[in-house]
This record gives sequence, structure tokens and C-alpha cells, in this order.
Amino acid sequence: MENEFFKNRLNITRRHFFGQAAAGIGGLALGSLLVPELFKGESAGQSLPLGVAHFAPKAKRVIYLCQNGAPSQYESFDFKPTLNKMAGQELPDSIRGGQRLTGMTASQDKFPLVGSYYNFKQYGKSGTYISDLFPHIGSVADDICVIRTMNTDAINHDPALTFLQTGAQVGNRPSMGAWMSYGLGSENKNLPAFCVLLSRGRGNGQGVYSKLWTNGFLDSTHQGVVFSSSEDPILYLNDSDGIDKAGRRRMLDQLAELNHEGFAENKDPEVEAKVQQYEMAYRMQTAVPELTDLSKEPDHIVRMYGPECLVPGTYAANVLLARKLSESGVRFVQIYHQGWDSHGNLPKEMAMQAQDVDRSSAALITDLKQRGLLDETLVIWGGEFGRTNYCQGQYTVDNYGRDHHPRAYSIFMAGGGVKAGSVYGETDEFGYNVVKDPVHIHDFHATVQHLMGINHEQLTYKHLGRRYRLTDIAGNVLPGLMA
Amino acid sequence: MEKIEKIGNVLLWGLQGFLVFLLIFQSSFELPLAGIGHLHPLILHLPIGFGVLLVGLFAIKKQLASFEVLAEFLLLITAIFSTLTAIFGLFLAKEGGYETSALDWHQWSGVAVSFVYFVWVLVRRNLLIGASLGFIALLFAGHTGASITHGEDYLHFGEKSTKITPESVVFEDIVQPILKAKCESCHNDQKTKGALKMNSIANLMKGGKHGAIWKAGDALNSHLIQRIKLPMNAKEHMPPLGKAQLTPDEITILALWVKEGASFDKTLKEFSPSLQQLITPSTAATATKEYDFSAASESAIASVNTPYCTVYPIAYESPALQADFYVAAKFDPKTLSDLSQVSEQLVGLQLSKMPITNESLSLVSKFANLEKLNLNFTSIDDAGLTQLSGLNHLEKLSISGTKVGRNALAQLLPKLITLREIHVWNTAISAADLTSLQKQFPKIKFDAGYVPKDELLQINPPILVNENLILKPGEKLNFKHTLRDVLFRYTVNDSIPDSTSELQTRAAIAINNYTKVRILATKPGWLASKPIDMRVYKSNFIPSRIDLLTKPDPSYPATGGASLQDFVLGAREVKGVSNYSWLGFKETDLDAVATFAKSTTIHGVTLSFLEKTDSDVFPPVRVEVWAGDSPEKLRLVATIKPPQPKEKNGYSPRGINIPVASSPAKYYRIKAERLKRLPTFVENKGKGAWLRVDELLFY
Repeated sequence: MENEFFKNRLNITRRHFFGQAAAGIGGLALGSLLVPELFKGESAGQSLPLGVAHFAPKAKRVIYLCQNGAPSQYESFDFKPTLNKMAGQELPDSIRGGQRLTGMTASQDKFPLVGSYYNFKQYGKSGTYISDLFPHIGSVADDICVIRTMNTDAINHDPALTFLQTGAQVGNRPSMGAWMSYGLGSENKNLPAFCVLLSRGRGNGQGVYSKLWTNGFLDSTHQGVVFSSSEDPILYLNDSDGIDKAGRRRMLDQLAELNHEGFAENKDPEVEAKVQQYEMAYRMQTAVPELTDLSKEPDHIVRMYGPECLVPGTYAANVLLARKLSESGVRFVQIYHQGWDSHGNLPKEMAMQAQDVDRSSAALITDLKQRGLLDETLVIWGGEFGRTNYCQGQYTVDNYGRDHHPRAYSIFMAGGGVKAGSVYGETDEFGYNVVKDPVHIHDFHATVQHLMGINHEQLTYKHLGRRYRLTDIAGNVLPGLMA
Repeated sequence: MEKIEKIGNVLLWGLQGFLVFLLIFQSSFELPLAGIGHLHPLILHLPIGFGVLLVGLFAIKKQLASFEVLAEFLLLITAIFSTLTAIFGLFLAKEGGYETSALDWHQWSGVAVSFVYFVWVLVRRNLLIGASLGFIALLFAGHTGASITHGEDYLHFGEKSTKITPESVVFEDIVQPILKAKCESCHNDQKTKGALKMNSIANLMKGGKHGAIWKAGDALNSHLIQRIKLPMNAKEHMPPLGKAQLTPDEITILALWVKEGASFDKTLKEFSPSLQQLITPSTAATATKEYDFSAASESAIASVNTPYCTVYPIAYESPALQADFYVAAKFDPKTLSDLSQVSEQLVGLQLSKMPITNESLSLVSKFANLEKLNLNFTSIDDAGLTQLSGLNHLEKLSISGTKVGRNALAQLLPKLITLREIHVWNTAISAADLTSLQKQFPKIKFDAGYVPKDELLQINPPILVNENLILKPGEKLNFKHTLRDVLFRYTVNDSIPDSTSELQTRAAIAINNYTKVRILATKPGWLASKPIDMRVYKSNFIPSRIDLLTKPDPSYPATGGASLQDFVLGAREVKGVSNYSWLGFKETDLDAVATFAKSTTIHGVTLSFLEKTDSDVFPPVRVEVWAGDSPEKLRLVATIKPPQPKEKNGYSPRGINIPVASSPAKYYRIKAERLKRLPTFVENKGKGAWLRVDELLFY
């Protein structure tokens, strides 16, 4: 304490020195002699200012194609021929290593291994193995980085998805997008910095809840804005009959005056946030119609994304909209596509799901690239955990199911400083355990923030007496993922 | 004046005596006034100032009337303050935490300063020699003092004595120097607190009286890090209170080093970027490019920001700026010209989809430091593009979706010497152009983007525009599509439309009465869409009222006769929720009279009903239409026997048209007879069926 007081006093002295520069020989240099840390800039204990990247970012924006329900890594990105060879045999205990099971397979007395129903091919110069369900993603293999060693702490959908999105299994923390909005601000002041688009596939689905895109303890302006899956993605943007632009402006000005009075009285920052939100909604009246107008898209855009992209509410339509939002400076676009929870009937369900997402996911990457935006946009594709290498329920040659598996699963990333045309991490021959380069959810968050120019240890928010960050007290940036 | 001098002299003698005393008993005296040593850095600048002034005085000697008096007085003050400084310095040194050899040099040079001035106060001769000697001693004492406070390399501005590179061994070049500076003074061969020596790798590995001081890979459970992170006032906190403390950066470095394996030979580049960033912000993977130009003022940046143009530094403390334009409808060329205020700092500019023209490009050409320029989907053309030839820092240019052609590029690219990437998707540049350009400029990466493949894709189905499938008089069935130039083909006879279907439309279909429409979308170069089916009802004449002559079953009363012309299709029943949109008859038949305002000629009647045989809901077996101009005098004008289902089915609403021979009438009475004996394929065979009706329409 004594030292702090001392330093404080000397700070005043330093200012005094500066104030009368003429007074001393090298007064400035003398001032600096007093407190060694003085000219060293920020020390690590302090947070950096908000609204600007801590260092030059690789990615300015994120499009997160979250495949909700956990797609199987064995039928997508982790090729394990051993499982086909050993199909029907028991999972060795040495591999399972005491892994806890979900309530759905805990009572199973057998754990027969099951290989992929679908074949794999090598794609591109990188020769990345990708299953036949994803030929379009295969065609962009040289632009993506497949991570085969994602791992998480949770084993059920809700905590796992909450963990993936907020860095904690309990739903009270800000979502990734909210942190980005908080740390980096909005590029386009006429749109929310964090947008959420929902779609539902034909497979077994799991719910999504607003806690996944919550602002948590951050200011509510950082909350994810959910777009409607109707033709009109943002409802109630049009002025009602009898109200013209000028009238609307007058109304907002009056309202803001009242709100400022209220703020002066109660000092609740949410009041100011509300005023800002009204203002943004007003500007959105111009910005959004421009954005959602599909008539200006050339025909071959539709060919790229597939004709479904013109049917509001589909995954393809959301991906196309995500590209348009991102191109318009939206910091973080979060897509959730439900239906990947294939506990049974996996070959059929997975095929339908893949059909929904394959073409448009790949199109997004090509489309960003041809606009010169891929290098500054980070695309993430993947779910909350993986699926077991053994069968859930009755195993037959063309029908099986897979349960939840948290220890190792696959996702891919593209653009935004990610090492293109690469595969990161290795699992054992059963795909069950990580043998090289694990990527824990905290590491994933740290790395994504790093790509966005954020030092994950320095983007903090003080709440209930302590500082929080997306990675909380963990997380390593993984250089191996980066170009 | 003399009095002051006298007091000064006495004071000087006293202080000198005290100083000598302190020097002699340095090792044995106890600190009477804790913290008084902190005055040392505060007053040490006074003798420096006075000493320099004293030397300077000789330069203006001739201009001064009373030079001698002034010089002697200044000498005295300098002597007093240099002695005081030396005394405080000794107190400060006593608090500890300084490297001994450096401290010795500083201590004795400081004492020398005070002695020199003191001696010359006594001799009062050859003042210039004294002043110069004192000044030299001052320089030396100042230098050694600064070395203690700022490290020995404090004079090497901006550069550390050991240059840290990604190849530097982290332990040797970074961790060990920290331990040396902050830990070793109490943990060495001479002084070994806690039985721990930190002066060699072997000693560090050996640990202290609590054993190993770190657990490689686990900083949180490492003794070293735990002790360092304890609160300042905790007894166990290291370094102890009063000793030179670790800076937050140093703590993080130590913690990360332990966390990442506590290796003695790994180089910086093998550690995480977090550590690299901390140690060499300019060489780590996160390096922010350095620029020669200085930052624009905050007010300049604020003044060029508008809601539709965001201008921001590319990173914290970087002078470089990026400007992004959004919302084409709000584009203001003035905002673009305003950017000239920050033209030097602008390295990135995004103008995609903005209504900029060739003229705007002449403004853009003035931003000489631009590295990335996005002009996608703007109305620029060849003439405009050539104006950009002066951008000799440009690395990436995006002109996708513009009219730019080959010639402009061939002209421009030789001038853009730094360009490495150009995006020309969807421009006037053909595949052949691209090949030749690529040959001509091998260093530039051309991205032509997606080339449509020869695959046939299925177009998506038509989108129905009408909100209600009961069309009112004059209303048509409308469709739209999100693709341009789409032709809709349809049938009304349950067959699948194909290219031979004569029924086709680009938008609207006229419907005369209840019709099953099957429609699909077609477009050259695409596979036809999946067909969509719909049941469309049509009303051409609306009666002023419809009255029920029989009472519906109490559980399905709907809204009585009015519900037969409410233009709302019956909804599917939800379990547990009463559904009043269907009129249900179980014990009686439907008997209703429609009254028109005036005698009306119709062509037929449409009755919509529900078929749901798994719930005993069947079509009527017979429908009669009676007509006339007075309710008492009606005649039978049409009879129909709707086909009956042959098997069990679920919810299937449908309609039936009952054509009527044209003759005007004011009243129309419709009787629909329910099925009295359920067929054998349902459970309740032999019992009576439900009749549920929804709308009664006239066409």
C-alpha cells in the first residue's frame, strides 16, 4: 500500500514537471526517472480500451455455422477405417478409459464399434479426407482447416452448447458474439454487431435458447439479434400507416429527451442503451431492405448456394443472408442448424442433414473468397461435441445410431488467418481419444479471439466483484491453427 | 546575507558530520525513520540543477556584477543539497533490493559529489575547478543511479542489450534475468533464504525447504507462482515487502513459462503467442505492421466518422486507419472527400456496393498509403480504374461485379507494383483474358471466383402470394418466385404438369370454382421445381345471409349459418382445444338457406367439408340444391352424390362443386344428407357418421 501511495504522489510531481517544462534541465527526463514504469505504456494488469483490436486482426468478422445436435465426426471429417474393419466388435476398455456415458447408453451391455456407412475421399492439393456426404465442402478442402481434436467438458446438448457459445456450462455468461461486440464494437453502425439466424433440418433436433446468444452481464446492446425466418427477416421495421420519416424522427427525438431525463435521475445505463437501440432501429429502416433484397443477386449466386437459398428460413437462405450481413460489416453472425442428433437411423438422417448444409456451406467460402473477403472473415463450421464410435441401439449394416462423445470431435474453420488446406490434430485409430494437438473449447475461444485481434486474457469485464473473460481462467492460443 | 551564509555553513558542517557517521556505521545502524529514503529520488535533482547552473554561471561571468557572491552562494546550496541527497540515498539503500556492485558505485560517487562541493566551500578558491569537478562527479553519480533504477541499459533507447528474437532461448534470455534481478539477491550462495538458491539451473531444480518450486505445466499449483501471486501484505508474498517487486508483465511471463512446460532450452517461437506477444510485441505472430506516418488526431478521426462511414484504427496504438462505407442509399460523396483529412493514415477502404463513379475514384487515388481497396459491385469502369495508378502501396484490389475489362487492368497493373491479389469475379474479364493476364503478371493472384458448372439444379417451387385460399369475386390466384424469368406450369386434373402443359402463367391464374391446382416453376437451364398442390375455393356471388334450418351438434356449433360464409377455412382440430371452425352434424342433416339481396343467376354451389374417416367423419351421401324467389316456393335444381371413401384416412378437407342450371333466384336452399351407416373399414361400423361442413360458396 505504501508503495502505491508513493507512486501516486510522484505521478502528481511528474505532471508538475511537465507543466513547467522550462523550469528544469531536462525536466521531462527527470520526471521519468522517478517512476520507472511511467513510459512503459500499459501494464498487463490493466484492460485495454474497448472498440479497437489489441493488435492487428487477421479476421474482422466471424460467421459461425453452428451444427446444433452434434454431427458425427465418423461420417464427416475423421476417417477411421479401423472401425469398419472391427465393426460389431466391442470397444476396448483401454480405449474407453472410464469415460462416463449418457443416460441413453448407460444401460447398454454392449458397445459394438461401428464404421462409417459412407466412403471417404481425399480432396484438393491438401488431400484432406472428407466423407462422400460433403462433396461440396470437399471441393473447398484447400481453403479450410479441419480440426479433428476438439474436446469439451460437457456430455449433454444444453450444457455443451452453452459451453461452446459462452465458455461456461451454466447459462449466465456472454456469448462469443457478445464478447466480440463488446470488445471490438460495430463496423456498421446501422446493423446490430451480433446477429442470429435459426434453421431446422430434417434429422432429430435439439432446441436452441436465447441464453446461447445472450449478452450475459454485458450491456444489452451486445445481445444477439435473432432474425425471423420469414420473408421479412426483421419484423416491424416499416413505419406504420400515417407516420412518415419526419414524424418518426421527431418522435424519437422527443423520446430520447425523456429518456435522458430519466437517465439523469436513475443513472441506469440500460436507459442509454435503449436510446441507442432506437437510433439503430431507425437507421436499420434504410439499411435492412437494401440487405435483404435478393433481387440484385446474380443467378449464379443461386446456383452456388442452391435454389433453397431463396426459401426463407432454410439453412441455405440463412447462409446467404449471413454472407450479406457479414459483407455489410456485422461483426458476428451466428447460425444454428438443428437436426444433427442422430441417436438412431444415423445413415439416413445424416444424409438429409448433409444435403441441407453441404452446398451452401461450401458456397459461402467460395463467395467470400471471390469478393476478396475470405481473408478477413473467419468461417467456423461444427457442433457442440462428437458422437461415439460404438453403436447406440440395435446395430445393423445399414442402420445404426451414435451417442454423445465429448473427448474428440471434428469441426472446420476457414479464412480469417486460419491455415488453409490443413488438418490439425490427430485421434487414435478408434477416433475416441486425442493423441496429438488437442483443442479444448477454451483453446478454441482463445484462438478465435486471437484471430480477431483480441488478447483473450485482456478482454475482461468486472462483474460481481471479479473480472470475467470468455476463456475465464483457461485457454491457450494455438499457433498451429494459424497461417 | 552573511547571516544566511553562516546558517548555511553550520548546516553543511552538521550534515557532512552526519554523513560521515552514517558511512562509518552503515552496516550497524537501524532505520529510525522508515521511508525517509524515498525522499532521495525527490531531491536528487536539486544538486544536479544547482551544479549545472554553477558551471553555467562562468559562461556569463562578465555580465554579472556580483559574480563572486552569487557563485559562492550557489556553491553552498549545492553542497548542502548534495549532502542531503547522499544521506537520503544511504537510507534508501538500507531498505535493500538493489544490486550491490551497482549500488556501491553509486553510493561512493554520490558521496564524492558532496565532498567535492564541501571542500570547495571551505577553500573558496579556483571556483571553476571545483564547479567542474563537482559537475563531473555529478554526471557519474547520476549515471550509476539511473542504471540502478532503469537497468544498466537505460541509455540504449528502445533497444534491450540482449536482442530478443523468436530464436532466443526463453529461460536464458528472459526468465533468468528476471530471477536474477528480483529473486537472486536473497537466494544466492551468500544469502540463502528458505534454503533456496536461484542462481543456477541446478539450484532452481533442487528447490528450497518446501521442495520443488514449480510443477512444469501447472502454474497454478507451482510454489513459485503461488508465492508471487499472494497479496502484497501476505507474510509469504515474494519478493518480500520492501524489496523490488515483479511487474505484472514479469509475473505473467513466469506463469506462462511454467504453464508451458518450464523448459530450459525452448526458444521463444516454440511458446504460445500469448508469451511471444508479451515479450516481443513487435516480432510475435500478432505483430501489427509499423508505419512511418504518425497517427491522425482523435478529433480528425471523429470528424470523418458518420453513421454510414466508420473510420477506425486497425489496432490499438497503430496510426493506420480503415474506412468502411455502408448503406448505399445514404452514400454521400462529401464523406468520401472529407477522408482527405486522414489521407495519409488510410490503409484500407471499403466502398463495395456504394454508388460511386469514376469521379469518386479520383478522390480515392489521393489516399496514397492504401493497401486494401474494395470496389465490388460499384459502377466504376475502365476509365475510372486507370486513375488508381498512383496507389503504390496497394496490395489487394477487389473489383468483383464491376464493368472493368481486360484492357484497363493490363494498363493499370504494371503501375501497382505492390499488388499481390486482385478479385475479378463477375466482371467483363473473360476466362481467356484472365489466362493472358496471369501470364503477364505472374506475381499477382487473380481470383475469378465461382464458375457455374454444367450441372442442372432443381429450381425452388413457386411461392403463393394469396393469404387466403378462398378467393373472393374478381380475385385471382397469384404466384411469385425469387428467381427472374420463371414460368409457372400447372394442371387442374391431378396430373403432373410438364413441358407440354398448355396451362402456364407468369403470375396469376383465374379460378372459377373449387379447383385442385398442381403447379411448378420452370426456368431455362434449371430442372423444374417440385410441384405443389393446393385446393382453391372461389366465391363469385355473396349472399346477404345464410340461415340454418337444422341445428348442428352442440359440440360443433361454429357460429351457425354465418360460419358457412366467413371465408375462413376450417382448421385442424387440436386435442383438448375446442374447435369452432367446423359445423358438425351427427343426429340431423345440414339444411341451410342462403338469401341474396336480389335475384341472382349462379352457375353452381361449392360445399366444403371434412373427410376424416378414422374419426367417423364422412362426406355427405347426397347434396340437393333448391332455388326460387320465395322461401315457400323452391324447386330442386341440382342433386349430387359425392363419392364415398373406400378406406381409412386422416384429416382431409375438400370441396365439391354442384353445378346448377342457370336461372335467376333469390333463395337457395342446400340440403346435405349425412351417412347413416358407417362402412366396415372403421371401428364404429354400422353407426351413424359425422358430417362436418365449413363453407358454402356460390359461383
